[in-house]
Order: sequence, then C-alpha cells, then structure tokens
Amino acid sequence: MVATAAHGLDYCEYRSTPHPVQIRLAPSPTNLFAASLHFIPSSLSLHTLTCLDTLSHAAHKEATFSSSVLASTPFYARPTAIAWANATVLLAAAANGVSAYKIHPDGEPQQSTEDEPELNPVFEHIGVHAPLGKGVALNAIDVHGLEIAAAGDDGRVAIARINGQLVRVMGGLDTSRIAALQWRGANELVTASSSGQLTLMDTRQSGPGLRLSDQAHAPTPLNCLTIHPSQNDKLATGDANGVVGIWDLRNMSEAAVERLNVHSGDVWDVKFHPDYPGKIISCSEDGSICIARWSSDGIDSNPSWEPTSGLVRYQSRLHPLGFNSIDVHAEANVLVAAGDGGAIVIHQLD
Amino acid sequence: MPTVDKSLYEAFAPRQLSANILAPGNNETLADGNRTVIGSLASIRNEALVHIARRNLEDSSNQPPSKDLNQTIAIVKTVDAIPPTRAVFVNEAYGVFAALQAAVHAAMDSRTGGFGRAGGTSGHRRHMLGFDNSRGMDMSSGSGGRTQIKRAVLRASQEYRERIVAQFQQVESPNTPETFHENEVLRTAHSALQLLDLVHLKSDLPNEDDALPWDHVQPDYSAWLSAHYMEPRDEEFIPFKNSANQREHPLYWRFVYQTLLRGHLLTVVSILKIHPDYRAYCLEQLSRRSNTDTLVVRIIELVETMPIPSRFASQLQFEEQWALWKEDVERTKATASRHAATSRDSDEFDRMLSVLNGDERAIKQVANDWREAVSGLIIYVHPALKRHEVAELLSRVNVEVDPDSVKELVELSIIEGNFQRAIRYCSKQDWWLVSHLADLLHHIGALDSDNLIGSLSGMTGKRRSQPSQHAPQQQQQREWYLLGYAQDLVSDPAHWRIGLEYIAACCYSTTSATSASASCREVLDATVTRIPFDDSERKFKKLVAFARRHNLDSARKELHRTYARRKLAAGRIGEALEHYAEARDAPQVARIVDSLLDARAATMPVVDVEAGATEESFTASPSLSTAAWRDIAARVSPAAAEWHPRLALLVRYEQFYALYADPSPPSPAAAAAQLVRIINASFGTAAASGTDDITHRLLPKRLIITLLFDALPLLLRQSSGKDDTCLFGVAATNDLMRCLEDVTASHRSREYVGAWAASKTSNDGVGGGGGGGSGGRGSGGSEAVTDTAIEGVLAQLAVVRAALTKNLARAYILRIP
Repeated sequence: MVATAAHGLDYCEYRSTPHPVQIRLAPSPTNLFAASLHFIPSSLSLHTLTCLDTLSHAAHKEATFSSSVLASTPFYARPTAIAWANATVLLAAAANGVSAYKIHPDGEPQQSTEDEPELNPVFEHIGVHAPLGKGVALNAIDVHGLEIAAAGDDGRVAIARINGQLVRVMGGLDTSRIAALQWRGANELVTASSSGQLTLMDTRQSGPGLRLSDQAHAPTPLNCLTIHPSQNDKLATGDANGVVGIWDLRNMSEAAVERLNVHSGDVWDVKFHPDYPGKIISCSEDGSICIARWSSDGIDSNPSWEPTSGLVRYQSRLHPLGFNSIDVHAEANVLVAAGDGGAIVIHQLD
Repeated sequence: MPTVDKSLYEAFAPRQLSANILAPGNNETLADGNRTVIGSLASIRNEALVHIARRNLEDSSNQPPSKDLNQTIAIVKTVDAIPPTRAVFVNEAYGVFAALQAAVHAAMDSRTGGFGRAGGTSGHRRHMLGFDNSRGMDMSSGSGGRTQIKRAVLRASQEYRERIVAQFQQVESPNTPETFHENEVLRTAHSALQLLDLVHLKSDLPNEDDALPWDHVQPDYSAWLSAHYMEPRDEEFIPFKNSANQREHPLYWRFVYQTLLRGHLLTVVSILKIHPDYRAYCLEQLSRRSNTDTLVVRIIELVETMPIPSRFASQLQFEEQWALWKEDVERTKATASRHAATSRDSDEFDRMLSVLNGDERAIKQVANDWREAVSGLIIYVHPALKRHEVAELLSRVNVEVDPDSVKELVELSIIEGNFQRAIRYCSKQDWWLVSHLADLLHHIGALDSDNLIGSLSGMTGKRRSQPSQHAPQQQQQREWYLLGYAQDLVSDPAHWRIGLEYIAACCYSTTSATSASASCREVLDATVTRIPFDDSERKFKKLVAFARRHNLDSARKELHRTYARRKLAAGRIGEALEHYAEARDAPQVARIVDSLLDARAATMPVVDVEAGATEESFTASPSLSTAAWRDIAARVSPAAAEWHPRLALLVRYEQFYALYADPSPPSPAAAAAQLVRIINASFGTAAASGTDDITHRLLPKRLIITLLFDALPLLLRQSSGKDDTCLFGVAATNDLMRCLEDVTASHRSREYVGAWAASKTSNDGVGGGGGGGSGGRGSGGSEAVTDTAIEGVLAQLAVVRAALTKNLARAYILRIP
C-alpha cells in the first residue's frame, strides 16, 4: 500500500473498518507489527508496518511508510482492549472475557470468516476465559509476565494466568467505572476510574486499595493511564477535559498532579516515550496527537507548566476526527495511531 | 476508463438475504408445520425484522402467526445505502469536505475581520467544520476572500477526484451489479467534478503559476475529454494499429480526424507520416529526384507549427502568431486544388485543411459526437476561448445525448451552468455526488438561493410547535442535500460518526442564526439521541463529547439519562447517579439518594427498648453497602451538590458519618455539629421558616428518623458519662426535638414511621419501586410493614425523645446555648 502524505503526519491511511478502538505494537525489537481492535464490525487485525526508505528519511528528514493488513479475525463480542503478552501472544478483552491468540505473522495472509475463524493461519485462537464470570464485560486489560489483570464492568479486578487459571478477584467496592489499569511491578496494580481517582492495589492484600485523587481540582473522569518506564512512582493519565495529568505516587495523601492542558477533548490514550520518557504522547477526540516535553522534576520545580513551550501538535488536515489510540515503538522510534473513520497513522518521531 | 457491460445487471439475480436464524435447507424446526418464519420491512435503515413464529394449523382465518416467546429475532439489512466497498472513500472524502469547510471558514474570517456571528459564537468556530449562508455565498464583499474561497473549492474538487480515482481502482473491473453501479457512479462523479473545475471553478481565478499569466480552456478541456472519452475509441482502433497497411484500413481517416479534433497533434503527425504520399515524398528526397512539395508535407508542417496557447506569455502574442499561422493554412488550402490529381486522398487532405482553418461545418462533419465537435471548435476556431464561453459552443454543435446516460446529461448540465438540472440528474445515481456537488456550488455562490421545505424526520413536530418563529422552516439546498446524505451515513453503524459531522456542518451560519441552521440543529438534536450506544462506553462518551462540542444541551442530557438508566438496571448505582446528575434529572437523583440513605438506615442497629440503649449498641462495623454509599457520596462533585439539595444532603451526611465513625475526640463533637447543620439546613428552623430553599422542605420525613437515630448514640455518649461536655446545646436539642415532633405528632406519623421501617427492612435497594419526592416511597412502604414494626420504631423514637429530654436538661444546667 503506497503511503499518502498527511498534513503534519508522515503517513495517514484509511482502512475499511472504520472504528478502531485500540492499536498496540508488538514488543518485538526488530519487526513492526501492530494489532488493532475494531468496534464495528468487531474484529482484530494485524498490520505490518515498514519504512520504505530509511536513507531518504535521514537525508530529507522525512520517512515514507507503508502499512498493510496481514490478517483480520472477527470478534463475537464487544471488544474493549488488547495487550501483547509477548511478541507472539496477543490478548483481547471483550464482553465475553479474555481471548488469547498466538500470532503467526508468516502465516498465509487471509481473512477468516465467521464460519471458519479457526482456520485463520495468522491468528491462532488458543483460548478464552471469563475471569469475572460470564456476563461481566471487561473494560481494560494488562499483562505482566504470566499474569493478566482485567478490570470488569462491575468495578472488580481479576488476576488470572495466561492459561486461564484465576488467581484472585479484587475490589468490587469501586462504584465508578475502571477505565484503565496497568501493572506497577509484580504485585501492584494501578487503576484509573471515571470518578477521577487512581487506585493503587496490592495483589497480595485484600481490601479496596489506596485511593488517590487530585485535591486541587474538581474530579474529572479519567480515560487512560500509563506508568513511567523507569520511575514507577510517576504516571500519566488522560481525562475527559483534555488534560494530561502527571501523578506522583510517592505521596498518596497529598496528590501532586501536574496538569498539561494539551487537548480540547477527551484524551483517549497517553504514553511515555519508552526511550525518552521526557516526552509524553497523547491522542484525543479533538483529532490531534500531542507530544509534550516534561521533566521528572517538573512537579517539584515547575508547577506552573507553560502549555505553549515544548508542545508539538500533530493534526492531519484530512483526518479531522478523533484519535482513539497510540503506541510507540522504542527501537524504530515510530509512533502509530488509530483514529475514527479507520485512519491508521504512522509517524517517525524526532 | 474501460467500458462496462450492462448485461451484468441481467446476469445477476437479486441478492438473496439470509437472516441466519435457521440453518439453510430442510429444517426440523419448521418441519412439524406449526412454525413459520415471518418478517416485516422497516422503512428506516432498509432493514427487515425476521423471526420464527407459531402457526395454528387449525385456524383457517387470515390472522398473522403469533410470535414465539423463545424466538430469535434477526435484523436483515436489505440495502446498504453506503456499500461496504466505499467505506474508505467515504471517510477520505469527509476529510476533504471538512478541510474545505475549515478553509472557507478561514477565508470568511479573514474577509470580515472576524466571523461576525451574533451572540459571540467565535468560541464555536473551532468546533464547526461547516457553515452556511442564508443567501448562499455572498461573493460581493471582497474579491480577496472570494478568490480564497474559490481556490479552496478548487482544491477540494481536485482532492475529491484523487480519491475517486483511488476508489475506482478497486472497482475497475466490475463483476457484480453493485460494483458495476459503483463504477458508473465514480465515472459520473469524476467527470462532473472535472468539468466543474475547468468550466466554472478555474474561471476568473488568478493563476498562482506565473508561467501561465493568461487563462484559456483548451488544455483542460482536452484533458477532460481524454480522461473520460478516450479509451472506448482507443479499443476500437486496436485492429487498425496492428494492421500491416494502416492507410488502407477503413479507420485510418477516422483516427486522423479524432486525434486532430482532440488536439493530439503529435499523433496526427505520426499517423500522417505513414501515409503513402509522405513515404513517396521521403523516397524522392532520398533520391534527390525532385523538390516538389506535396500536400501531406504541407499539412504536417502546419500541424507541427500550429501555435499552442500555453506556450505564449500573453494572449496578444498568441493571437498574432495564430493569425500568421491561419494565413499559412489559408494559403495552403487555396493551393490544395493543384494537388488534387497527385493524391487519391486529396479530399481528405482538403477536409483536414478545412478543420485546421476553423471551418465549423467541416469540424462538425468529422466529429464523432458533440464533445469532439466542441473540442475542434475550441482548438481551431476559438483557441483562446475563456472557460465560461464553452457553453456557447454547445448551441453550435449537434448535441445528441443518450437519455439513459446520466453521466452525459450531467456533463451537459454542468457545461451549460444549469446546476439544478445537474443535481437532479446526479440524484438518480448517487447521493454522495449530489451533496458534495451542492456543497461546492454553494461555496462559489453558484447554487440558486431557492429554499426547500424541510421534510426530514424529526423536524415536523418542531415546526408545528413553533409556528410563529420560522413558519414554514426552510432549508437551503446545500443543507437539504447534505442532510440527506448524512441520514444515509447515520443509519449505517459504520459511519454514524461522520454522519453527525455532516449534519453539524449544516448548523452554523456565517451571519446569524437563520431558520435553516436552526432546523439543522433540530435534526442534529434529534439524531444524536437516536444513535445506539451498542453497549460501548467509548461510543457513549464520543456522543456526549459531540453534543457538548455543538452545545446540544438537551441531547447531551438525554444521552446521560439513557446511559444512567442502563447503569441503574445493571446495578451500578454510583455510575447511574453520576449520569442522572449530568442529565439534571432531579427526581431520579432524589430517588437514588433516598435509596442510598435508606440503605444506610438498613444497616443501623435496632435499639433494644426493653434492655435500654447504650452507645455500644450502635457501634457496628461498616458493611458493604455502607462502603458503597459512602464511596458514591464522596464522589459527588461540588457543582452537583450545589445543584441538587438531596446531593448536598448526601455529601453532608457522608461527612457526618466519617466523623461519627471515628470515636476519638474531637470527632463526636464535630459529628454532632455536622448533624445539627444537616438538621438546620434540611429540616430545622431555617428550612421550616421558609428562609431556606423550599426544596429542602420536600425531603422525605423518613430521613428525619434516620438522623434522629444517628443522633441517639451522641446523646447517649453524654449520659453514659464518657464525655463531660454536652454535644448538643439548647438550640440544637430544640431543633432535634422539633424534628422528632414533626414525625411523631403529625397525623401521618404512622405513615412516616412505616416508610422508615419499610426502607430498613427492604432489600431491594435502589432498583426497587417507589417514587421520588416527599413521602412517595413512604406511603407505599408503610402498607407493606406490620403494625408491630411501626410500634417498634415508635418505641425507639420514644427512647430518642427521652435522650433528648435528658440532654435538654443537661444543656440548661451547663448553660450551653
């Protein structure tokens, strides 16, 4: 597929599945594979991304990308989130539980059908289980080692092994919706909820966990969170008012939140750059992808952050709709994003 | 573009639909004869509802089969308004559309030095992808802005065509009726937009390229002709091209004339050079036998030296050169009779010279159709023809049109500038083209300002209800067409998002809130709430964000209300309360808060009247429901608490409970003070005297009972001697006693007490019945509880009364006001 230039973005192309919910790059240092989850029709796709001319990029400060869909597989329940367990195992959360797929990128590309989904040579379906029981839809999922954490629609969090063995169920007292969760080490989980609170859960202990909320501002529903790649006491959230908040977990009683007003709509996804954590990348319903420069000392030394300094905003002239998900490939320094209308964006980061 | 075979339509039977409620073939479910499949067509969204029904075999009447309770209902889409193959194109085209609206917006902004919208709407600008003007585009107020807009429209038209070409590559070889139709639509759209560019959009548009300082239609017209009417004829000439003796082929001269009229001069020269006369001339030149000129050589020279307008810096220079060249042509034609005997094709050469000389009769004679004739007239009669003058040539050629060819009819209409007719013909093929063509024409001010009576669903009722304001509400054509297209998109689950954006593009006016934009807002308002959530939080949030962005307050509230209902049904009380509060649904909020407080009451320990009450009898560990209601109460935002007194009560009560649950000083005193504040704010002197908001007094009486029982351990704490200080002063005790009397001295005291007892014993929580408001639940609940339970609560209240009496005496003694 030939790349088309986009205003401010290296590559922007539309796919025929118009509602990508999430896009996640496989944790492979050499290959650029991205899995995308689509809402209508419910499906899971595997994309292969290639940079056609890296020399040209070096010479002209521009890259030419291409992307193609290796395979797609239909989904039989409302999909909500995906996570790579490793470079070849992909987990997808949906209304019916967690489905696990073994990915064979070298399989003969073909589209599976509803009648014969198991014949898809790229997506090998290796199991499905409902850690919170049937009928409880899952909102978010994250993997750490062999353990999966999945947040349910009922406010509970299930810890299960990849093979489907349930380890424990936590919480259930959160009356708000858990919008995102992420492992913080082997025994701790952080969840972000629609009440604007973060909850720090210790998987070894019972109880609702420690709550953290922004004391200086009215609570705003949180949509996403990401933990700093090296300082796990720092994490970033995106909220419904377009604010990227950077939280310091060192002081749970006095929430110190640095607020970056970078978007004008819901922030759907946020990431620290894996290699340059000073860059916080976020995407939003306002149709933009922003890269904000941030210092880990910022909370203490620079509470009044200037939104105009150190902010790079990408917006495609021909894609005015919102971006739902982003991810960054550390080795290739490439940003991928998925937006409404089926847009897939690839951008070489500086 | 290759031709398509219309027989495809005949070759394919109508598409068979499958509801997938039964396996195909002989099905046992239907085999016993008392089952059947029935369905009904839904006019909206082109759907059919299909399900299995029970049939009574003994009933010979014409009654329809009854529905089976265990049936599977399937929705079958009969027609896709937007073919799945067009999904990418639809989204890409929307990107172009949105960019155009933004560019026009910016141009208008720069022209007027601000948008000039009444009511300070500049804040909306970033949210508006489109706009309209009640009189179409006002092209008179500034040539700079007009040029800017026209350039933006031209760019959009070209970008549309790029996307059409990309889409065309997918359906280049149509093999189904759907792809065949898609192919035709794309051809028509591309041709229409290209003609719109070359005849109207580029007209009077200063060229950005300094190398082309003067404008003429010739190259663009030739490009359009080649793009759309070259390949079919090219295929016809394949046998001729492969012929060994091409001159002898019957299509030789047809090919010469066709290429001549289309301006493919190099091809004309190359084909003339294989003519026997030219070959003979070449042989003579080689042998140096003679130096006589031949007609074919003269014609080749003329064709090769013909002035091309684009090669001249100014029209004057070109016309000077053209006049000289025409003199050469005339001279050659005058001497052509001398060559009549030397060539057997002298008549054809003479006709060629007539064409080159601009002889209209000759041009029309050799032209295959009106398009080639117009091309010939442009190239050889009016080489410097301006774009807007093309239509005048149509009256000078024989225009024969296939009445079934929508494409051709649209082309003629656009050349003539009859855009209404063009849109009418386009509407026979595709609504995408209609709406986007109308949008482009609107922006360049080429669409008539005739209004259309709005006939879209969702608007009729509003019109009737507001007869005096905009009666009848009228819509601009652009808006009407865009709304039609948007409705197709909205009805498609894959395209609802951009469908809403198209409707929104109709909603903003450049001048003021016109009736047109108002009616579009009504459509938008009605549409947003009808988009199904599909059980997706993300989709719900996107709809709410959209409604907020476009200030659709009522729609936003309706979305929250719908979502809250679902959450309530799912038992997610906190989320339901949150969304009901966003929806400003006061009765539902009151009902949920009451239920939460009732849940709290349900966890209160019962005072053993016989044994006497002690403080210890009230210390119970927080239950699950306690944690739940406290969590919900802690999340109530200050704004929500300010809006609804019941939410304020919940927040205050949670604060009280936090102090109450902490036995260490000074928490008990603070808890008592907080309780008094709640009493005063809700039931106390201020509220009763009418100085506070009247809504405070509408709080259910059963909540008073809960608060009185909450006060009891604090009162008992003093009497037990644990605390020397008196937690309740005289005034506070009086307030509590007044509240107690409100309940016990009322003629409805048993009803109030019964309601409290019912809420305590009920396990149905929030999801149960009962209405909101004062006493609504109480009256229903009191019927369910026994007299024994009521007497029990009254006895417990007597304990409270005794404690209050003791406390009053103590407060007097200690002189605590």
